[in-house]
Amino acid sequence: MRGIFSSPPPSYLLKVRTLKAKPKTRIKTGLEKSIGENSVFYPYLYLLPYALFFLIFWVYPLFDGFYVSLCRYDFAETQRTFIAFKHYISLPFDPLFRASLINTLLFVLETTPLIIGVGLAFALLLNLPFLKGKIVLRVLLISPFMLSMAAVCMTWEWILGPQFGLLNYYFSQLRLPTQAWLLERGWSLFAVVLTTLWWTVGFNTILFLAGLQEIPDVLHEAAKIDGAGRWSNFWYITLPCLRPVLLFIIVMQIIASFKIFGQVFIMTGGGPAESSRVMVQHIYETGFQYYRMGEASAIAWVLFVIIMVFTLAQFKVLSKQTIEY
Amino acid sequence: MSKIVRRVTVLSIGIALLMLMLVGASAQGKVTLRLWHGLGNVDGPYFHKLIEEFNQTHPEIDIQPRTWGDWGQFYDKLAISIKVGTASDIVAFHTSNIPRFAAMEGLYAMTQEIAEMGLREEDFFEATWQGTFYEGEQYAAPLDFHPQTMYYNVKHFREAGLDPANPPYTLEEYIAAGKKLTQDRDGDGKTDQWGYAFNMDTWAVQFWSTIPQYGGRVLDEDKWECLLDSKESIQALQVWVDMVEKYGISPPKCIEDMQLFITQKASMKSDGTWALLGLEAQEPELEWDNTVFPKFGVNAAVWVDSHTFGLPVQKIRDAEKIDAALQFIEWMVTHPLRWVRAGHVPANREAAFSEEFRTECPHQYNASLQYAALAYMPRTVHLREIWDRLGTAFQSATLGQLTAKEALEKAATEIDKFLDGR
Repeated sequence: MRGIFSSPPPSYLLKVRTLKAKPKTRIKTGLEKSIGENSVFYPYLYLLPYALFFLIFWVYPLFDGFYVSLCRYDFAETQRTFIAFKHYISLPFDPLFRASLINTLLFVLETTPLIIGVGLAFALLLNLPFLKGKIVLRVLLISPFMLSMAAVCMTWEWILGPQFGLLNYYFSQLRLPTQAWLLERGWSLFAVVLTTLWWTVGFNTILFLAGLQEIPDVLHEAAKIDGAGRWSNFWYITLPCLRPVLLFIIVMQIIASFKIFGQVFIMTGGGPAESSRVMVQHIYETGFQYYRMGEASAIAWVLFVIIMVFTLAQFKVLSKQTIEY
Repeated sequence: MSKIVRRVTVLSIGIALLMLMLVGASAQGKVTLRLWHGLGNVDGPYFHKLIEEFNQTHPEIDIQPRTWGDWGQFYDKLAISIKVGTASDIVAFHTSNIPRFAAMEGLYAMTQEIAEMGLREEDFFEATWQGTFYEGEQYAAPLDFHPQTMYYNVKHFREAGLDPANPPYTLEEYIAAGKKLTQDRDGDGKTDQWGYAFNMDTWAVQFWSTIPQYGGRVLDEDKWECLLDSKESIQALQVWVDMVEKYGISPPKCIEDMQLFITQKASMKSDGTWALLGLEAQEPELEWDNTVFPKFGVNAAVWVDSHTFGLPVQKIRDAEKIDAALQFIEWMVTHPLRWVRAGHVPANREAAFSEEFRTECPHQYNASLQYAALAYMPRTVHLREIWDRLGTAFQSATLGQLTAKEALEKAATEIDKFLDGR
């Protein structure tokens, strides 16, 4: 039998065959060779937009800010006068700078252990297997963190009011001595600490809870079998396994505490008598209210160096090799 | 391109063009001006109503107001915005801040334009007119002045046997009245009603009033030296400390003076005239009146400031916008009785002495009687920092943390440092 192609195929079939597309090949240009898909620079193209953004809005201001700190630069003037390190030399002799530095360090020392300790305690509580209503408790703990800082601070300012505050009202009902919380030296900063604790502890609790739930149960069971009590279990199993989370939280908490501003600005204004004045507030007022940009930049750089030293120290102490059992 | 994609593209372009045309049509011939201010929720809404009235009567101009809610933040924002050229076309602000913004070349001078409006020095109270100048140039047209005034509870006065039509004026009269008004009403050993409540925050305007009353000054004539540590200034601060500690007629550690007055736990309270509208809203439960600020020292003096309008410098000077802004300024300044109902006193003499002002704004009229005793703050670019240091000194002394002498010596040292240029 003759096959369908025993005679030459009809011309339309020939056309079908010739219409089948062949992949185009052409010679690549030099540019395509440099940044084409196979080029070593190709992945960096994806990073380029962010890199530009980072250079313009982070790196450039950082170095320009350092240069401004070496100049006398008043808003009212258009020129910057180079004065080298005079601002840095005069800072320790400025009583407002000293007060703001001491208050900031005090705030870090008071807030950090509290927020981390209370956060961990709440996380351990929420991790208890027999606890009922965990979801409700979790929502209650994290809810303050959803509020804006201004709303939290204005509410607490009312609660802590000397004449009409809720706290003093209940204190007087319980025949306890009332306090002018925001108008007493020492109490004013502590009031800010307590407000910050109420506002942010939920966030650390959730992070700790996630870390606790990552610890394999088999480790706790093995420790129990070996006769470890609750405290030994916590100290030798739970804490070491939480080290990465702990490092993250401590570093972030200390950095955030050093940068405290909004709560002080709204609740106490740095008072009474500069007893709650903090560094970022001093930077803001010096630069944007008194227009001494050079001095404000110098204070900002001092704060940056302090935070950097603390952060590096924490990494050195806390980031040992992860425990593996 | 498929049919649907083509149709959607054409439709989108058409809608965009139509919208552009509509916007262009509505914008044609209409000058839009942005106006920033820091007026709060008492006189702010009143001000916005006036702007709405202006917009309706001047259809070729559209003023879009925006309040920053807080004068402190407003001034911070204004300084930065002027520096980068994004400030609003008009600002409503205080004449005390003219030196600061004029020194940084942040305001357009209006000397000629104000003269062309027909405004003359003799038409205004001298201090309010002088406050609009800086180094020979005029940067604003006087609109109002808002001094401190003393508010008192008329019912408390009657109950204590005091004459509400003759409120106290001198220090001795205040101490005597204050002692009668300070009472333990429920016999529990605690004071329930205070004679005179004042705010111990760093706001401190009452201290600004008593400094000139005792013959003191904040700065010397050349504004190079701080004189807060003088004997007179220390006396001016001591009188406030004594209100709490010596005479016992003021509550200690008080920052809720307005709440105490409104809830009738304090019988007298001083504040600016801007508080009038808020107190009127408390009637009839709160029966109150106001009088001139007390004279505790040897001179009659009262802290005051003025609202006015300024034209921030822009990247490109727009003559059309400036012309429209000047129309608005003229409209406000030449009809001051519109604005003063928000709780202020007209800077225009004729308006302040008019029968209409006396009968329709009686509380503002009471405050206006202090026109000869107005004590504006020093006209210096360092006013903000001086204000903060003085306020801290006032707070430290009245809270009992430092003596008046210690507090003012500390403030004077700090102020001298930045006056010297550090």
